[in-house]
Amino acid sequence: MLRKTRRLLLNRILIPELGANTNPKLVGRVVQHCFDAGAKEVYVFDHTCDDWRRCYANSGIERAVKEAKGTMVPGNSESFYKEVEVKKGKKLTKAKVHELILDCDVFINVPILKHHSSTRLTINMKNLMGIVWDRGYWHRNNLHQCIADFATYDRKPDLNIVDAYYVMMRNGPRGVSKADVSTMKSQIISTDMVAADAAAAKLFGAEPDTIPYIKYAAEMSVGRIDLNSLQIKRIIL
Amino acid sequence: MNNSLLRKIRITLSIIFVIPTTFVLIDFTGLLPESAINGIIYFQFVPSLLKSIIVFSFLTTGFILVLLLTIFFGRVYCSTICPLGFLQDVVNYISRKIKNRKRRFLFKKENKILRWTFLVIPVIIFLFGSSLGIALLDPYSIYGRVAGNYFRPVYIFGNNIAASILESFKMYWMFPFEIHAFNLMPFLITTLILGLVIYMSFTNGRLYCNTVCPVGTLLGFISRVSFFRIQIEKEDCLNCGVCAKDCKANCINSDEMSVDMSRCVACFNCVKSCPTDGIKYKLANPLQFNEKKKLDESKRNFLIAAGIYLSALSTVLGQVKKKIVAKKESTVPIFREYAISPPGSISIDRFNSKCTACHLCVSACPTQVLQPSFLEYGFFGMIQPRLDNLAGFCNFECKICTDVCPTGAILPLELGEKKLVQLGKAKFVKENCIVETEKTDCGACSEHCPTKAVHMIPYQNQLLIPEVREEFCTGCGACEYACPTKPYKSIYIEGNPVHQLAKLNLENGVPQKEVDFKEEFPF
Repeated sequence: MLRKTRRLLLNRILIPELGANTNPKLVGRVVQHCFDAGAKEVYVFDHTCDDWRRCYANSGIERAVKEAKGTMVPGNSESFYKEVEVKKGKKLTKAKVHELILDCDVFINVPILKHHSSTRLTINMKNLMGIVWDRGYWHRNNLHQCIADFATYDRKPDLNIVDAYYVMMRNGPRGVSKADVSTMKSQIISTDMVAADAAAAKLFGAEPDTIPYIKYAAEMSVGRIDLNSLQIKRIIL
Repeated sequence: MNNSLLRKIRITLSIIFVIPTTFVLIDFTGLLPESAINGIIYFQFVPSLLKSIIVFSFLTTGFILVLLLTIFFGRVYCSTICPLGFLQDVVNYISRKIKNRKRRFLFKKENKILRWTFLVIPVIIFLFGSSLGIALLDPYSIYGRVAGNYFRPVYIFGNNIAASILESFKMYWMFPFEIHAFNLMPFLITTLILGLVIYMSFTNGRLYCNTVCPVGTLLGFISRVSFFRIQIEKEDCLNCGVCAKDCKANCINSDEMSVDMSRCVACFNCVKSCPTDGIKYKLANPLQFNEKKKLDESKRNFLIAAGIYLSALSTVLGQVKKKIVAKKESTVPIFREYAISPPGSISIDRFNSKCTACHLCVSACPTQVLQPSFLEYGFFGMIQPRLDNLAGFCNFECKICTDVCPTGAILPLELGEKKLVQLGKAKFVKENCIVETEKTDCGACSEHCPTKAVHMIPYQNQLLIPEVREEFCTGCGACEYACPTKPYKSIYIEGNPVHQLAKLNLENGVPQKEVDFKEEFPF
């Protein structure tokens, strides 16, 4: 039984057609489903790169969440973040994680699939940079390894929902114009971040093991990169 | 009119003005829309006057209303609209409580030389292209800096305590706010001026307003002949001097039964204090004044000499532009030749000549990138705001500073225009970059870049390294802010002394096609 449910999203800028942030309609629907499943409270937040108030508003996510009776929570202040140990981490052994992640009953990760200038792709594991405080440390200390390291942290998302409706194919993670976006009308849902990332990479047209952090995470047994060994339900509507 | 009523109206009005004015100067939540902020600052004399010089419009007519008010009613501006006047009255009130003496002022002679010097010198410096003199003396701007440096942190502190209490109950409608930068020198300058103002008002009432304040001098010039004046009724006056002792402007000469209306700030304390109703605020005979009108020759010569001396000094000091050293630990230090001025300021010189450093934009800026400067612009741009990319970066979708600036130092821009204004150009320092030094991927700069002026290109071992395409760069500073190297950044913005136009990035303009996987999943 769900008592409280919380999700996170990575939400950078602007309108859904630009494919920079998770589609507000999807976010709103997930919140609704959480309540339908008996959640008492549903919280949504992201540690945004840009000014968080503008991101929440401009992305349309704030409105969608409010309409679904969920609560938008700020992620802008270090005071929200509590230090945790990442026991299996090679480069990242400690991280400051948003308090909501630490005491929620259910944690749902809802990233958008998009091109990323340095990590190649933003999917599930990359999206978790939105629940930690000091991202500069990750950038300084082998970004790909840190992303894989944090994926080993005990409090993993209970569910990952990858929005691949509008997919930014270049100029990510912010995008320059609509011309960067391809319409794929797809979605990947999994409890395994690595498997979902591998599948999403394939949607994008990339081999999963060419994305270093997916490869590292698979090697550290966070999840499975070999999609052939998995049971996948492929649904066409 | 009932005598004590006038004073009550004055106090009520001053509170009505000071609360919203203070609020917009300390607010960090962006609660009020730009139009409301413009409305609240509308009556502030110096910003409105400066803005009218630059872009005259209906919205900048506040100073005309103030002049009209003064012609009719005397310097009511100083006792109701001016926030620094309010602050001094508070100090006065405290001083009265501490000294435990109700009537403690004395008539003093006007110091004409000082008054006119403090008006003429800032004007001359202004004509020579720097608003520093006005910035240092304008009461609204002083108050703006006091509010920003002292009241705002207190307000934020209170907010953060309240937010953390609410947060423990899982209520998130208030949020904590982290202050990203503290600028010591601008803070000290503000403190020094505040200290002087407080000292003057603690010991001598409205001494600042009547000797230093250029607005006070200018309005005083008009209020000498205003329609309504404070007048002593010769028949009723007992020469008891109570009114003079209650006059914080030190402008009532009880012995001669005269009131120096050029210094009277229309506080109406005298009217209330008179035991015989012998002092009244009423329509005056326009021909009646008790002042000699001549400005004697020596004073005039002094003013001219002082003006010439100062303007010469200003040209010399204007040459001194300090190089800024961005924060330092990587190996290559960063020297910026030019500071970065806000969008809409057009050029550093223009900005330096118009900004009175009221810091309204600093408090309105949602990312805290606008910070008071010290010598980054050179001596004559002191305390004016600049973009500090260590504190934040200019949000691509935001132009609030251009909307709120009351003096026209930052001109309004459409969002589309603002997105193409190039404040400066990103410079990449490869020797400091993680990709070069650690041989691992990073790309934080390119990730934050709104125009992809900073993009990633192939480097050794399938790594990607940043490359700057200056033509697309807007100088927002997101790359510099995000860059994780310490102590020196690997990418920084070199300011454009004159803002330029960035090119729209149309690269890869070919639209992506819709992908339909049909029955064929790629996995």
